[in-house]
Amino acid sequence: MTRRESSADIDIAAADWAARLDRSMLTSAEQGDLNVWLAADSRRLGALARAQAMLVPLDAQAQDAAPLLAVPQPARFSRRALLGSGLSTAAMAAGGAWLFLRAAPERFTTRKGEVRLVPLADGSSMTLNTASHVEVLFDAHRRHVRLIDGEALFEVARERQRPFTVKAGDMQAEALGTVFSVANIPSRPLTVTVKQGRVAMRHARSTATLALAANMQGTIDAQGQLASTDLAPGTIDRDIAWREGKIIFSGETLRSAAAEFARYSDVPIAFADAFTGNRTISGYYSATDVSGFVEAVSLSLGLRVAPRDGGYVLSAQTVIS
Amino acid sequence: MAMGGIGKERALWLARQIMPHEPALRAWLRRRSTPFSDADDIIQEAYARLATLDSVDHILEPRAYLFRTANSIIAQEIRRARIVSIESMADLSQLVVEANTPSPEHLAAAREELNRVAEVIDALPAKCRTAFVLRKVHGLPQREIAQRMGVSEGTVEKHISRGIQQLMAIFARGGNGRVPTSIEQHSTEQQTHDKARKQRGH
Repeated sequence: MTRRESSADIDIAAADWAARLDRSMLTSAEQGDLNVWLAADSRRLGALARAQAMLVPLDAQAQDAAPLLAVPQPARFSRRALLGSGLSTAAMAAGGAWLFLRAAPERFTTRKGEVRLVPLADGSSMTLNTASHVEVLFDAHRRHVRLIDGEALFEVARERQRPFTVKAGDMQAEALGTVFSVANIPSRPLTVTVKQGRVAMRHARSTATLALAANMQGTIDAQGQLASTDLAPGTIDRDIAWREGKIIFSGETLRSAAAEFARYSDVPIAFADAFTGNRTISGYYSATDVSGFVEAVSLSLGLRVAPRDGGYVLSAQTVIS
Repeated sequence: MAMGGIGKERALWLARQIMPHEPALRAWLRRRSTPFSDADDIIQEAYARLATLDSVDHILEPRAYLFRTANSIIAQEIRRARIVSIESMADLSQLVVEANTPSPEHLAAAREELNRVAEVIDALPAKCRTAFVLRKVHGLPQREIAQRMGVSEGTVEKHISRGIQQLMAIFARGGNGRVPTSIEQHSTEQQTHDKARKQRGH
């Protein structure tokens, strides 16, 4: 019988990996080594998680209970290093508690039909589409955005030392200098669309990473499957036309067009019959102007329009001869 | 699992919501007869499961959840082995009771654990201690620590690893006052410990 690796040996290797991960992003070769190491024994991931948890800063309450650690002993620092560190003596005297005043994430939301451009502190910008909700948290070594729901386009300022990550559900996308959008919309797959640059997209629970270049779209379905597709040039501009408050259709069914309008407006569009809902349309429409859209399609497709529930119901025009 | 180990949020949750209950679970695991894995193995498996959960938002009682997770790992081992001893089953039902009784003793134990963490860090070699305190207590990135201490990032990484190892070891071995002061010493001790365990027939 082969000797099973002891949990203590696993802990030692896990500590090395946790320290390495804490230092900076892994190279792809290192990531490969880590994956191989993790795959060999289920205990290893647990040891790594525990090792990473060991590095989490003590909270302020814990500090009170452990006065020994509240202030690093100045004698152990060189005076020059301490003076040059930017740590004020007042802050040191305060027991280090200031270090735990972690910045709360900044929240941004848009109402239905609203599109909002948000300049970010690092020179990047973020455009929120209708009914979106994001949290932004930047610190010394990370630029992190959580897309809680909705859709956003990011134009990321290049900063090699601080990757820009967007998390949406189980998906994480990481970029340096890039223009990309992320959509987290109920009953649709999580989607990342890259207009410029490169984005690494991955599922929170798997090690598989999808590298997306310009004009590519990556999706994660409910089963966690990653997939990418190449987009025809121009498709992206169509997909992010919402930035200008526009929706562009090219051959979509009226039913899916109505679903798209429902993201932007509470004015419902219904169909009296399946045939009408399956008619297809193309064109460039104002996202919030439902009546303009209804008028345009009814004219071009020869549909009858009737008011219903504060919205419209479309039906095939009865031919009166 | 995300590229680059577990996410920051999950690490934070484990550190705040799970680690404080680890001593109680470990104590219970050590008291009972574990026919297959020892307490450390089960705890590693439990962390692996907690690290790979989709979300932890639904976990209202992390302590009970941790105990239930350990419980299901043991139950799975027992099922796989197809040997069901009466003691094992009795232990499994007892676990639920343990998980639901946080007591003043448990709180005191958690506080004691924290003091032990402080002692472990304080006992690290001077440079290692400085690096580890700047990271763990003050939350400075390793790069900045390296600049501040005038050493390479690789050296800081080694200091951080050593600090983590000592903390993991002190939690794992119950920290009965004996704090190893070097990795070498720790490894030797651990090998002796492993041998002893193997001789006991595990």
